Amino acid sequence: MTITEEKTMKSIKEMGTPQMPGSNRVNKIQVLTIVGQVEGHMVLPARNKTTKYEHIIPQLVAMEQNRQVEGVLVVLNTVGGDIEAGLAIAEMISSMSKPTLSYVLGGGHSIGVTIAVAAQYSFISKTATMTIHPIRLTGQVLGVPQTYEYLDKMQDRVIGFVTEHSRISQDRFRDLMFQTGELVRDVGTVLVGEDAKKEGLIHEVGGLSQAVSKLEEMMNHAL
Amino acid sequence: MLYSIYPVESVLEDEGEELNLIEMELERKRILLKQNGTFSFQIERIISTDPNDYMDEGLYPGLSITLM
Repeated sequence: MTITEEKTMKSIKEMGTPQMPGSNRVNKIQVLTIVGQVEGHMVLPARNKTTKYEHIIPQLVAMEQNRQVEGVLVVLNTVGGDIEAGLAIAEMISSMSKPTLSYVLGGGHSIGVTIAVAAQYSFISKTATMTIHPIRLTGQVLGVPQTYEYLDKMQDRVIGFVTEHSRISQDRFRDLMFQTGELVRDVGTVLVGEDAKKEGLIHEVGGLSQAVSKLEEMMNHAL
Repeated sequence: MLYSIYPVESVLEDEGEELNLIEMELERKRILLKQNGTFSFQIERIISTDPNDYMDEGLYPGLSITLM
């Protein structure tokens, strides 16, 4: 195995991408894969498959700085994860100067919804789902009003971001979030492919080739 | 704070057992192996950029192999 191949392997293993955006020769479309749990300040037990924010954030900075990178494709198959990390990634994607496109495959649940809507344009595959549900607390919970206010504030951060970056209204998003009768023994809504588009969270239902064509079109307009 | 479809307690649950995977090259393909016995291994993952490697029946994840 050559040194270049060795480097590619290491990059795939550690960062989930064959080509780091900071290197000298990169493709004009950079792919950012966000899978499993979005891992934030706390290292999750080894049984979880995670995407670490300390891997994603520097890549986004490098993509923004590297002139060879003309567009960013964010591929999502996540069950959610750390709110702070998810929002940080979403904020960075939404503030990029280059064309960004998110593609939800399998699932883009919970905090994954914020990352999906952060891109300038979004795709969802026909069978992919997005679960919208309230934020939960576990462990020792103090039964004081401040606990509920804090929870509400965290929820507002998510709702605010999603509604600012998509076509869904705050009221409708809250309705979906607190829906009963949809999930078994839980509150919330599961949106499958077309539903996510109808609700205004995602722009289009489609596959990889359509997503890449759309990103290329956006890149050509940006030139 | 976690916002995930998985219950927080199951995400944070630690099984206490760490997977010690061995990375090695087999037939010029890089794989991750779990050791089951002295010479017995199970393929956990293929690390490759070549889609054909994933079609190789001899390298399917879960397959038990013996290496001397």
